[in-house]
Amino acid sequence: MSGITLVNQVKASKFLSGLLQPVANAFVNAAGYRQLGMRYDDILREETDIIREAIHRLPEEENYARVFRMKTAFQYSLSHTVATKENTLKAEDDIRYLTPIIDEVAAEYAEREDFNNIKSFSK
Amino acid sequence: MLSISSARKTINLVPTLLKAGYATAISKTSNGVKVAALDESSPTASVSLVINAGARFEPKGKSGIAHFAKNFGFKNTGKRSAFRITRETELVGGVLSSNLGRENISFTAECLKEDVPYFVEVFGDLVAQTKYTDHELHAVAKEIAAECSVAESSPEVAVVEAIHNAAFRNGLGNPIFAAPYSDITSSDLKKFAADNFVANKLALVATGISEEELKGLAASAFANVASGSATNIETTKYYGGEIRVPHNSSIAHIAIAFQGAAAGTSEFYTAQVLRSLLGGDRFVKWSTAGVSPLAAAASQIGHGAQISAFNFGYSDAGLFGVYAQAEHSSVSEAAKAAISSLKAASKSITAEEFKRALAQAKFETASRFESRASTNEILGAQAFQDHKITTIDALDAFDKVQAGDVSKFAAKLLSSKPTTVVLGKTSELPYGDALF
Repeated sequence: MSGITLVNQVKASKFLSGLLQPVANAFVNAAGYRQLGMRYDDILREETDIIREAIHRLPEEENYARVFRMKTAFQYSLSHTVATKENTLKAEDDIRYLTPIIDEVAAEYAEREDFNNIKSFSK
Repeated sequence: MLSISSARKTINLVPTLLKAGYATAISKTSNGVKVAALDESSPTASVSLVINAGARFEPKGKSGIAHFAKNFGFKNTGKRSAFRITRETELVGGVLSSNLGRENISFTAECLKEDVPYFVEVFGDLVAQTKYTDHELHAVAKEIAAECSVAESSPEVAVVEAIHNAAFRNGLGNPIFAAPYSDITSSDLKKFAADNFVANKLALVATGISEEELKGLAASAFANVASGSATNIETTKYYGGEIRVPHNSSIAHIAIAFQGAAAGTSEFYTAQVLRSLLGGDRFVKWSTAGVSPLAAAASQIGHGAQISAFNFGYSDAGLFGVYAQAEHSSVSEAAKAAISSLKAASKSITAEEFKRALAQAKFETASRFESRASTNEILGAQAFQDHKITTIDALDAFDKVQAGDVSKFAAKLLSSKPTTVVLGKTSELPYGDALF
């Protein structure tokens, strides 16, 4: 959904991923969202049509869990604390539950854009 | 309403059809999809995918699922999104529609001849690759609620639904419109599609394309569809009974039905003749009364009273009856007049009356082959019953009907337990047994 990405090339190459994985981990720790009990997909900017639509399509229980994590994070923030070590979100729990839906919606938007700007149609 | 000029046109048409060898053979692709086509020289074509999974085959506890399956037609598939299907159809100038009956769900595309392959491919995706996503289900549920509320506001639809329900209870008695309590999830729909959208329950029928060409297209579009097994029909049992529907309207409706005949049987043709004999239709615009007994009775009652006869035929059962609509004060008189016309027909029928009824029944049957929508419907029904009836065959079947058969059939009807539906201000309306 965003500009140019080399993520697949990096993932495919053992050397590059070995080099960059520690940097990525340090970045995620510095970002601090896991210490508030949130997943990466919880902190995506919500105010776009695509993401709003994607959130709308979440299964009900997934949506409740998302709102619950946000409320928890809000409480941590209010009380100027972060989660204890064992309550911090673990890396394996940081599931990208929204991204596949965002990609699907983005593809639909792109398709709609293509059809709206169609010049001619031939078989 | 049929005008006289259109009647003349149709009668002229029949001999031309004879010359053209108006025969439709029902063939199958290797995995069992039935294919029937009626090639006619026109630049447009119409293709229908007919699935033998109508309301009567709904599994227990999943009432209304056929309605959901119908509305999920042309939604997102693995190959194309619903949006793409809509836009591409617009670009080639096609029209898509879906229809749900008691026996079949059908999806139809009307298009130019050269675009038939595209739509057959879309049908193939619809059967094998529809995604049944949750977010689409919300939209579909809203559509269904809207369709149901439109249907509810039509007394005729409510009467027909109620009369099937009272007559057959389950199976053919299942409502076509999903009940407000129907609780269908996307996984129910996936299971329903896996069980029912299988080659042996599918028929691809078309007008305006040769059968060979259609068969080739079907073979490639439905190549990945599992064969499955054909629908296992539970024998329909006729029960009879009474349903009273409270409805706030100035016009009251009474329908009385009896156990009729299955479509395609010789008795069904007899029933069609009896239906035309009782009549009730107006063939001449603005005329006050027709010659048929029901039309005469209605005009005697006046105040916009209408009485007609109906004959529903299904693969293994039928429903024959009379339907009266009038103001609350006169509706029971209208219903009694209809019953006494049926009783009179069971005693004797004059040769003149019989001749008129036979001609009208023949005309009506032949004219059903006139429109593409009804031709596809007929072809679809025939594909599953494995008997081929062309217009000519049907007209021949009518020639075997005798006046005596019609009286005998009327007497047989009256001996079955009646099914009564009254709709309107029920406290002012009679009970079924008071009408005989």
